[in-house]
Amino acid sequence: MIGSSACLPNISFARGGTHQVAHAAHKILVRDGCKFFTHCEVEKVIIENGAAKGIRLADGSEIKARKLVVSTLSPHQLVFDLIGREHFSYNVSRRVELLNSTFACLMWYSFAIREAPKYEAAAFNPDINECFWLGLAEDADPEHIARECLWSRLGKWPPPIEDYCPVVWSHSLVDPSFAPPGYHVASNEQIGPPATAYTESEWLEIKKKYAEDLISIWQKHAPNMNWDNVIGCDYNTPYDALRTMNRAPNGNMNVIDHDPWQFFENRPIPELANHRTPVKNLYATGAGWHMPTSGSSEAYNCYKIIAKDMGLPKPWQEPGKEEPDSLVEQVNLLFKKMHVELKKKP
Amino acid sequence: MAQNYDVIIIGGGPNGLTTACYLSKAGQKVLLLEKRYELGGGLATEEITLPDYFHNTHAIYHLMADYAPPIKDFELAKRYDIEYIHPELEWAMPLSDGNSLCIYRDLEKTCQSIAKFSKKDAKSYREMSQRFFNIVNDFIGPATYCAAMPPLDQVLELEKTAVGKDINKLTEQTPEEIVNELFENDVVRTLMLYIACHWGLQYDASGVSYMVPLLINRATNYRLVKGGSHRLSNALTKFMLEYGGEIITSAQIKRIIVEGGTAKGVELVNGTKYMANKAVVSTIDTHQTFLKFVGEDNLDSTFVEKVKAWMWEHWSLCHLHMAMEEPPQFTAAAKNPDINNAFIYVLGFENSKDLKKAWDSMISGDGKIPQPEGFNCCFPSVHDPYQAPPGRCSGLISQMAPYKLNGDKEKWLRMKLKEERAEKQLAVLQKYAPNMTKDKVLWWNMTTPADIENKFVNMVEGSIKQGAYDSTQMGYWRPNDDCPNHRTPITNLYLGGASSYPGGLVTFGAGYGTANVVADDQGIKKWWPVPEHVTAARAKGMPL
Repeated sequence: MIGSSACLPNISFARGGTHQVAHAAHKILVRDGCKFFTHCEVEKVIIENGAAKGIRLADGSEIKARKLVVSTLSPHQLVFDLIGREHFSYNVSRRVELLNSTFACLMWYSFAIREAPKYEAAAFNPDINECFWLGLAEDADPEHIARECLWSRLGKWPPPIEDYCPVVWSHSLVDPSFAPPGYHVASNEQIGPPATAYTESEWLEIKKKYAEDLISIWQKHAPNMNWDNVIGCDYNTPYDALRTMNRAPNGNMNVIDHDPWQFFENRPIPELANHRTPVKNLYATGAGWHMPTSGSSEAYNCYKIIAKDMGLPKPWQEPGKEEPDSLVEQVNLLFKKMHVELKKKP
Repeated sequence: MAQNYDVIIIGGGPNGLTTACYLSKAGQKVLLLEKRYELGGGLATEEITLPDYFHNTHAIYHLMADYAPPIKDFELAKRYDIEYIHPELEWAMPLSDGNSLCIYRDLEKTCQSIAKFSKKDAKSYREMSQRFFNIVNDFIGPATYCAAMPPLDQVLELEKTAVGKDINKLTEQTPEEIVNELFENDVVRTLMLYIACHWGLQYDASGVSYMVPLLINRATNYRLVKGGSHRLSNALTKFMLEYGGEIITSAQIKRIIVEGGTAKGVELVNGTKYMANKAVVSTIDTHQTFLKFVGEDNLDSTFVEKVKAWMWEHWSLCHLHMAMEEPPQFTAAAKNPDINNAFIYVLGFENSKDLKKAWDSMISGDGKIPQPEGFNCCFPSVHDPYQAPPGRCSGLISQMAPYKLNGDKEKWLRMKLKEERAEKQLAVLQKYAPNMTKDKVLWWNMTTPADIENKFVNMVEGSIKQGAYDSTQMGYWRPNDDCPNHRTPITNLYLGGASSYPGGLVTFGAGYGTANVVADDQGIKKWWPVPEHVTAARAKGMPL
């Protein structure tokens, strides 16, 4: 927690939008000979003699993999769909079934607006208008945030209006590619209910009501954020997050929650945390692995394991500083190091 | 990223991508700069309502795909699984009395439908069908992918063949005259006039009416890209990348670098300069290209006047995209069950008087939504189940609308106005398909003319074709007589988008023509063959 806070001054967004990163990766991969196929749902990994030999698509076609298969599905999809429960011990299946994913479900709205929000608080500090991550709350009492989380843990939505704690920002103020000249985009994030808490028709009502609530709160801090200022809205809720199936069934932004028993060497579960699976040549990574929202560290860590197993280049390796390939071992080493440092006299 | 290229292309829409693909495979070092974060321009498919509803937010119908060389040249079907879906019943005009007029791909079925209104018109349609096919197959289709001829030369050359003579005659008539000559029944006239003009022709203007046989012939060639229009953009992007092309998205251009009357490269707002030693191709509008990026100082004052005289379009579009619980059940299906599987519906304009009144309102600039309200609509998931979740339906209402609503385009940019507009459009749909009550539309998203201009800076005043289809700025003269066939007064600067020949809509014609011209001018060997339909047309003595 403290570590995360220490990172706050460094948080940033990709100029031109997050999607530029995906495009960049795509360009490099296409140039290096990678083939992309969209509209292709993978159903199963083909296993022969305990090893992954390829994949089968939902339409029945099969594709051979000469060397390996890497999955970025959710732990549930990996264990119960791609591989199959029969390849795992009861303990492992049960642990995956019990993974929590009801908390990190976000309301993530974007408004196309004519004027950027003009906060009354700018009279106190003019930088407020451009604040990257601005919390709007009833007053400065941190209890509101605590209560917002508690209401969520209790499965109660919406919280009372005084416990709404949306975080807002307007990137178009610093990156003109985010909106046409003279117009702006303002976005928010806030804890929301898991997608499974409501039916589709209930969600369609919540989507509209939340927009009304959000604008009414926003207006209190920035009077110009009224409906007349709004050109359009992208209503993004945990229900909408289901457009990517790995976030099912709850539309969790981290696929599974980042609870202490579901992070680091326990993420998603200890038996799968090192990216290897019971199936030889089948590796798994994704946001359900360590560490989510960090900019693909999960993929990097997975490559480290693959590189170890397959003798591939290891550009991070320094002689005399070889890393263990087990995340559990690595975390233990890190804790040992911390204890040593903490014991040193100042 | 490198700094030096052979060719720099501004704009990653279908034309920019096409030129980039041809030249990349020709071994040229190509850089494509796109202002938006996503490529494809109007060839877009977006999940803008609910999960798993895919909406083709701009270009859908790809009228010229069967003539377009890029489809074959880039092996889009084989390499990238690009498939088109051709619904059998292309156009349907259901009427309040439960009858309907239908245009099928099948000639017999169409004639049978027309015969219910007028046997004479059915016969006329049959004859017209062959006549217009000849015009498109022998000339206009191939001509779309050849260099344009100076207009007077072309008229003289066309006079030498029967088909050519017919084209000359039709050009000088107005769309209304052509349709009225062919058909006597008012319902038939209404649908045919709509088909001929809805992309932006003035029903009472002559000079570009060669577009009428083209658009009426193409009416039975409307089709959907399976999986959505953006699949095509993806395929073109991959092709270009596979041949070494480079792309920068979210690129903001400051200027085109011009030295001594020659285009040398492009400078971005962030100061980065990319140099092009052979060509700079701009696929965006003439005002941005010449007035903003080249600069009036680098241009002759007469040319600047010509650029400023460019006419934006007289109307734009107000699109409603819908995530529906179920497909519409049209009342008219009781008399003709095919109706529920039609591709495009024309609703609300049941007679030519109402239709013409709507267009008159656009031309007069009164800034109002014409009454009674009419539009065309389409339900893509009925034909391509991918585009909506199982059992559900995706929908699109496309209504002609003025750019300045009641004199002010800002009026469009309000959510509450959009809600009112959506309700009115849905009321029209519900009149013809009573099951389409408000609750059946689970979510919607509206794009207005002002939104089009915000999204695509080159579509000024919501001009979906970058500019009007007026005879003074079409063909050889598009955008003006100083820029024929993609060349401009600036050496090595080419104009390769909808502001150049053959114009807008998704034809790939401008992109293809520009690739040809750049290759010719710069001595680049063309790997692509002359299209078969061009060779065949030339053999018939057509001026191509």
